[in-house]
Amino acid sequence: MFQSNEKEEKILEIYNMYYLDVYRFLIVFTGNRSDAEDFTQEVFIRVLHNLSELNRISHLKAWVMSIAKNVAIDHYRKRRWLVYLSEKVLWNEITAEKEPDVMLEQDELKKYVHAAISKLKPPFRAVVILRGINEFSIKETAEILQCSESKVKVNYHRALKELRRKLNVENVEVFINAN
Amino acid sequence: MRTEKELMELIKSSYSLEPREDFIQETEKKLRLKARKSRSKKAVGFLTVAVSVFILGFFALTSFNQQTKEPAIQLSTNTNQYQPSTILTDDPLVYISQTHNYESFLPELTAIYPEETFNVNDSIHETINMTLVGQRLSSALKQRNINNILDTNDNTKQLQEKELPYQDAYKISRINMQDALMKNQSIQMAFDLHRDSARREVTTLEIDGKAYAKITIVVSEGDAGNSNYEKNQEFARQLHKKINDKYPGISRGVFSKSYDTYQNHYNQDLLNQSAVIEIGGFENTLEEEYNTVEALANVIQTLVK
Repeated sequence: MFQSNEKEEKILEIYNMYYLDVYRFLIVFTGNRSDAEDFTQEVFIRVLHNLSELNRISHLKAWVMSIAKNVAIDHYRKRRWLVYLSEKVLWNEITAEKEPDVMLEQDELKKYVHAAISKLKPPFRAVVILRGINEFSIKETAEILQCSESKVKVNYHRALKELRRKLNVENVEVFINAN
Repeated sequence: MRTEKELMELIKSSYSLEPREDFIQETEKKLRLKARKSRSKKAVGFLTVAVSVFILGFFALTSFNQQTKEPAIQLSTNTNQYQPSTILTDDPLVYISQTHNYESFLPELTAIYPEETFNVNDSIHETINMTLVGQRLSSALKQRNINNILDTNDNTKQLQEKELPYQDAYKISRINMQDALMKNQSIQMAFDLHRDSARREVTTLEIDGKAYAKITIVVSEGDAGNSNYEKNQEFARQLHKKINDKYPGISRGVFSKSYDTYQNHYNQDLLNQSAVIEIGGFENTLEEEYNTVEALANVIQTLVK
């Protein structure tokens, strides 16, 4: 069993190693800061509660990230109906922070991207973020999602295809060129 | 917008990927408190519920059921299914060398030879030197299940015996590195550890009351004969960013050295992920060096695949 101070040291070590990966995964998955922050804390609290199992876990990063994925998907199931609302709130936050005329086009573009990501099915969304944003290898992604490497590849390509379609390529290109 | 890379860049630029500094600190504090409090299983269960109520607010009722069950589910799904990762292989993944192995530290030398005075040029020693820092990194990585090869060759002694100029040290370290790389195809990254000649004010950082030796990452440019310059550069930037994410300010940056009379490619043409790292300066203590070695090991752990 862990002594209390050992536990404290261990959880902080794990937290410092992985908070950035976890947060990045969650900010893109949820699309808003407040959820990303709450869920990040929840992930490491779950890690803390399972510290006694550490010696049985061979790949710490994959374990922590799989908890992040579980937290994200659990909450997605519960509050699917809230997605629309949270997006609305996010837009207001962003526009309030920036100069209105400068940010208008970038805002439009972000809106497209956020909407496209939030409409991806959760397993697709997870694979896109893990591979594309967190830049984990196929092997690591497969470990995190507890599936085969070939499934990671297939899902990633399907997800990319869907994203491209949703982002309505021409529209986005206009925005990029205008900036 | 056509390539996968462009698509990902677009997505990345659409989100604020950096967490707020306040949030990072708050969460750390929260975890610290929770770790202290959660001693028994009963306490864990209670805290889990308390936390879920806090996090989910008006979803308290539904999360109650799920939260209390979660730890058990986590254990059963995660402990058995993991395959051993590459990190657990016995193959060496990292190569560590100290080309200028006699580079030493003034405070350590003053402690042993109190009657002598030292300056930047004579802060060198046959045993109290960079080799100790390399040994420390080697064992810190082994503790993290990352096998590695440490070059313990006495380059400086060899130079003296052969009456070769100091800048030829890289020619000697090259022989060992080439040999190690040839015999161990598994090596993913190489670090040549040095210490800077800058003053203590420049090379020291304090985080939470702990003193760290700051690092500088040096990459040799293409005109110095480094055919891997771009990949080395990318690796150095990644290293710089990752270590500063976790220990803000500990890395002073990536410095590209272009060709001059005495300078060569630092043997970085031998491996894509290869860097010279200056850990601290001549006025740092070994303890400060070791603190940074631990930080570096944490970051290397996140970089090995």
